[in-house]
Amino acid sequence: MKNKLKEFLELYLAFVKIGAFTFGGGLAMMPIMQRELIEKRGWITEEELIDYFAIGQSTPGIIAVNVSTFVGYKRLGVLGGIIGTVGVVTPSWVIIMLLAGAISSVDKYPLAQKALKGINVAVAALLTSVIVKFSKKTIKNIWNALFMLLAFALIYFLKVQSVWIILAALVIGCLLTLYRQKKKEAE
Amino acid sequence: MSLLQLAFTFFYIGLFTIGGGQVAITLMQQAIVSADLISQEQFYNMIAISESTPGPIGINMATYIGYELYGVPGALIVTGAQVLPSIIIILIIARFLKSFKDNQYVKGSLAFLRPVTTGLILVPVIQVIMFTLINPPETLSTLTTLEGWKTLFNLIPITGYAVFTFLLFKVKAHPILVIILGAVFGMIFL
Repeated sequence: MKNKLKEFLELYLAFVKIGAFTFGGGLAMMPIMQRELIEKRGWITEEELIDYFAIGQSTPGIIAVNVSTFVGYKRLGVLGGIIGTVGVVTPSWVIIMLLAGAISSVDKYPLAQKALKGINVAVAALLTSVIVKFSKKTIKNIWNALFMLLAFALIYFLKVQSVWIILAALVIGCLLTLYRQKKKEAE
Repeated sequence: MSLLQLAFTFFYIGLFTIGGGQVAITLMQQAIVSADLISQEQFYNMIAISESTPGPIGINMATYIGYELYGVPGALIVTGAQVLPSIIIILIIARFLKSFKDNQYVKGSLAFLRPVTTGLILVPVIQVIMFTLINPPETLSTLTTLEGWKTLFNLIPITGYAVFTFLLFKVKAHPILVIILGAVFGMIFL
């Protein structure tokens, strides 16, 4: 019982840490998740984080929350999913409630704005490291590379919604498996 | 709008947010600003503050709106209502994935999806890099002169980017340390 409690507390605190250092959108938390959840604690694998992100992107809700629920569930079941989510939103709760009364506009804090510009540069470097790590795991042949570039081009240039691309990829992956299956049976 | 109605509104927003925080903010604007609960100007201010403070922006906004309208209980309940639909949906999917993780069709679909996801993540990565490091030229003719090329690149942020990337790859610096260094770097040089 006491051990279980400790595990929940550790899960909660890990997500508080992740929430506290996420600026902007959900992707910015990926490098911290990689370090804290994969490399340091071994709670999930790189492939799982990629899958969670893809599913989180194509299901309702904020991506950061979706990924946290996933990881929490994998680690400690339904309650774990809820605790992980509460953890990731805790810093928002505390910080916004503290600041909401005190700040009327960010324009009055030039130093904070400079810090934020610097954080954006740091985030650019962090995201570069995420994409390099993910590519190492997911791009193993020329086909992988082609489909990666195709997905990128569809979203970046043609502004296709990513949810359609994810759903299409899942269907194609399923059909490919079926096709390979049939081929194997025929042989 | 009572707190209960506000909670229902945010439950609905959570349910129809597909593809991240930006979508949530558009839905919030429709629900909150159109109902005259918060002025347009104040709403934009709240976005700026939510972007500049730690935490996912969609969560910060929900907390902020809840706090502004109903104080501490508002902040907690509105954010809770917003994340509730995604918690339920993700728990169902996670359970399904656990039961079918050895199913070859599930495996095959996910394996095919992974490189595609990498391409999808590349989009915001390129956007952030362009946004922070490059000044888009006003006209293409600026690129015909050397001076024009010089104004294209923000040299100070590019130097910071190079140092941070080095720290991450070669020194294996912790991402949180890099974010803190980023803040200090910004305060001194930007």
